Amino acid sequence: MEHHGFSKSVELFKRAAKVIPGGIYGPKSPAFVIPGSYPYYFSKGKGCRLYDVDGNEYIDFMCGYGSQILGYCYEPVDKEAIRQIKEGDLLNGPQPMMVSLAETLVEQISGMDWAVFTKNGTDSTTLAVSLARVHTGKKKIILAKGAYHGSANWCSSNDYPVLSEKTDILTFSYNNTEELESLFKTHRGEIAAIILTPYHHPSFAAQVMPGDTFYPTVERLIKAEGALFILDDIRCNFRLSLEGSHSFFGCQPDLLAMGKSAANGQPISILMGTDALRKTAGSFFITGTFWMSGMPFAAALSCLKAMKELDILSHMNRVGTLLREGLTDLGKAAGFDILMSGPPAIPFMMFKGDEDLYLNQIFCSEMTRRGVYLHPHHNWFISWAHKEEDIEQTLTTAQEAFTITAAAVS
Amino acid sequence: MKDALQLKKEQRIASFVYSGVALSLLQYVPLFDGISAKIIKETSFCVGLKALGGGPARRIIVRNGALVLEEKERTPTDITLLFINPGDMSNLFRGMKPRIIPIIKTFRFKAILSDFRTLMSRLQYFMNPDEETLEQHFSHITGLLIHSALRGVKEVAEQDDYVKARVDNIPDGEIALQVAEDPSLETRMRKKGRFFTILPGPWGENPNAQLIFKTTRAAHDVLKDRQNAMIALGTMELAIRGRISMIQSLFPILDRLGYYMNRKGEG
Ligand SMILES: Cc1ncc(COP(=O)(O)O)c(C=O)c1O
Repeated sequence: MEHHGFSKSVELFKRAAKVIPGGIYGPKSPAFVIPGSYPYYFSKGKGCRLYDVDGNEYIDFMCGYGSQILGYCYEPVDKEAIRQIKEGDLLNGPQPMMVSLAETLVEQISGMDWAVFTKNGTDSTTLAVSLARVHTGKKKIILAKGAYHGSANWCSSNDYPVLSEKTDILTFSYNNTEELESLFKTHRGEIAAIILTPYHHPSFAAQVMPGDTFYPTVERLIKAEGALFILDDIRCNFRLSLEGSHSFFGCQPDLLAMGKSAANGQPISILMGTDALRKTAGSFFITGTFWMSGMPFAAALSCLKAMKELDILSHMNRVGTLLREGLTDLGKAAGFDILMSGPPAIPFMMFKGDEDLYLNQIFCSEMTRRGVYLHPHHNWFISWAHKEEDIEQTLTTAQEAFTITAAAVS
Repeated sequence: MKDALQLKKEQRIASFVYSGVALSLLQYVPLFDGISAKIIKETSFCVGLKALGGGPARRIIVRNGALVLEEKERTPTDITLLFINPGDMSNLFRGMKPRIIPIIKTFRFKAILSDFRTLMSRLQYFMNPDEETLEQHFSHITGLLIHSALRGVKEVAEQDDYVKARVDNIPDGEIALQVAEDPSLETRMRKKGRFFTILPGPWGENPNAQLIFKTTRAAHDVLKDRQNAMIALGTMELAIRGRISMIQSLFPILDRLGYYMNRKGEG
């Protein structure tokens, strides 16, 4: 089989290096994948297929980092988005769709009474943290070690003494209720909120589901402290439940941040909250030049409608389960003990005993070079556009990649 | 304006960084430099360097044709260079004139001081080489740079409060810096709890994470800050493998290291 080459990607990167610090910044930097086996620049996408600037085609299991829940260029959503662009995207104020979208979400998302709209997930998590502080009059925020809540200084890896935003951030090991209890005890009267993802999906590690006692403990502790529970549903958004991932786990947040997949890749993020926080949110200064542009609202309304009508959850669960079982069996046949983690629609694969991820790096590189884009360090995503044939092709490729990985270790 | 206490603290940490890097590098120069090799072959001594005010106390021992850095005050000294404060100790390594109180315990002190000065100046010579020296000793000089970076990380990680508070987030294990075309340059850093050890390679066992420079030139350019590491990764002059999060956790430490190395005029 002919392997993908990436000369145009590298050429572009060299040009970028001269005018863009680091060439490509953030987690899309080549440093996050395996240069030589991965493209850096892409040209187009359709369904679950992605194309890079060298003309290589991939079955894509990253879905634009989760955002493409219906697949790239999903016609009905794109049609609505384009219609809105033609009618005027960014006007002097909101368009009626903003109201419709808030109404739709309040009706659809469990236990949430209002919605405001931002652009990126970071905007929503940061706004949630600010609202929680203002509402409670307290400063400290608890989050799980290794959890990602965005690129703002309070939560990102930008950690410099001169940036003081981290001063009031406390961390605990995910699922460790004892550590959490002790944080609440030590900082009694100081805690504004705990922010959690529905389950733990750190990079460079297996995903972890909440233990049976985890959410009940969280809810008991925040109640006693008079703190708030912020659920950062940005990554899981609509891949666990269409009513918000909290309904999947049977817990009830005070604030809910969503984004990524809400408009099938169009830029919108959402912060929802309960009635108790309506007043605080109503008087808080919330804005951004592009936060009320119409196109993403049109796309979101269309995307929400499609997700319901297509029953995408059962589809993604079925296809994701096929992938998970197939990889486990093929890995076993090649002599590996495979660890699949996360829900079927947000899977991640590791080799047992390979915590440093050397084997993942070999396996995922071999897959990507052969046209199946799998990230070695970040969880994967399934979309409505992944069909059984795509999984079949993926597994055929995986058989070859497992053989090569086995040869590399022997 | 920084308050006096903070300034003192930073001076103290800078003295650990400067002395730790320079004195540990001194060990490697005689391995390729004839002038240094001749000195350590022909003499033996123990020079102590100690900074008052909570600064480092380290000893350079030349004995049996080898030069070693002693981190503790164990071996009896022939001469101790006592610095009034940590800033003065840093000045010695920054090419500025420090205030020193020598504590002399041997009549050979003049010869010893002269040898020690020569060894130091040879190190300075290789750390700031002219084109010809660089060409001639390219691999050795790159080796010094690799060691210098890792040793600097060790000092900052063990001394700087900000980094110390975050060291628990770095998993225990080993990071290897390697040069694909010259395996002899491999150097490892082992992290265990709050402590870091630098281990000259090459080694057999798999490290937890690897930074692999394709060429000695690439290693040299990145470590000399002539090439950005992120760009080198994208152009495949540098590869990282294994526990990449461990390598990422070094970035803030390297940033702090840069901060201490670039402090101007503050000792
Ligand atoms: C859980 C979670 N929260 C927040 C964010 C930040 O979202 P954005 O990148 O849109 O700012 C992300 C993005 O990956 C995420 O996965």
